[in-house]
Amino acid sequence: LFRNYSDEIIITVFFYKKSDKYIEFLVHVDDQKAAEVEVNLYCTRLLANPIMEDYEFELVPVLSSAGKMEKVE
Amino acid sequence: MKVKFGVVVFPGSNCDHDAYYSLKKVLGYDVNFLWHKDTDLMDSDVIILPGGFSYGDRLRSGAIAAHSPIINDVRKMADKGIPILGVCNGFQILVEAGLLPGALLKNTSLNFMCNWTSLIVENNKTPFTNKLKLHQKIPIPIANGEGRYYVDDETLKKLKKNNQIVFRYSEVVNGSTDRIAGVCNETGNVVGMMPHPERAAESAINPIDNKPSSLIFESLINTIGVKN
Repeated sequence: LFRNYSDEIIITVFFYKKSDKYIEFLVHVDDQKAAEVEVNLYCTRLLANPIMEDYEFELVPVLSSAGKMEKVE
Repeated sequence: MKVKFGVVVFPGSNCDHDAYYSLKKVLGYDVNFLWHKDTDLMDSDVIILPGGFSYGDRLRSGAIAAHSPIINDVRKMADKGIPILGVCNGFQILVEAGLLPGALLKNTSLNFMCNWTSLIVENNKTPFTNKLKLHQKIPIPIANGEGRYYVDDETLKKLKKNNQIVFRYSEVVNGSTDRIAGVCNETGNVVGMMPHPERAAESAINPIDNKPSSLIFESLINTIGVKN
């Protein structure tokens, strides 16, 4: 998270479900497809329990004004 | 061999001391607390995941605790056939960790329920039920908000076929699928149940009958060895 991300797309993820849970987080990946893989992994492994919950997500590319990301914690 | 219990303590566990007290003071076993970050399980022969509100039920009950470091070791022990009992939140942790099938939803009443109820023993072959009689009735307290056991039809068929349903409520309590109150894994060594046997094993706090609840823990003697 302390690298220079100027050559990568930063994607924000909106995650929501009918139960009013809404989670927003950043993933640092090269493209949209990689982001989808990553987010689905987080959702099925931890954020949602596929036995009793459905989830949807939306990907939003984020670029800093300087074209690179500052330290993100 | 002396039976040694390990009671796992997660941040937010609140029945860990109940379990410790029942096992040590009431039943006279060797017991150790195991912190959830521990990798040393102190040669425990049996692991108890106690009730409570681990991590404040963030995301879902048991969801975060299912990723605690100790769960990796619990998983290895489950594979080795070591008896593991999850009570209440411990049951929720076991289903979230994928060690038991199904999920636990909010009670149909949407309320936290704190009542006495009765269970029927449906499988007396597990390490925790082998001293109980089949179809025996057990008076026991429940205390949960998310205790409605849910499995889809296909998994339910599988549970029935493999004899994985360990306890049923004697009547409809919280809307659980098929009145299921406790299940085990395919090999039978991992058992999860919503009601609290550790709160019912002492005669002073169980005016109806404390014997069956204490037998849930005493059953381990048949599997592992002597008490002292």
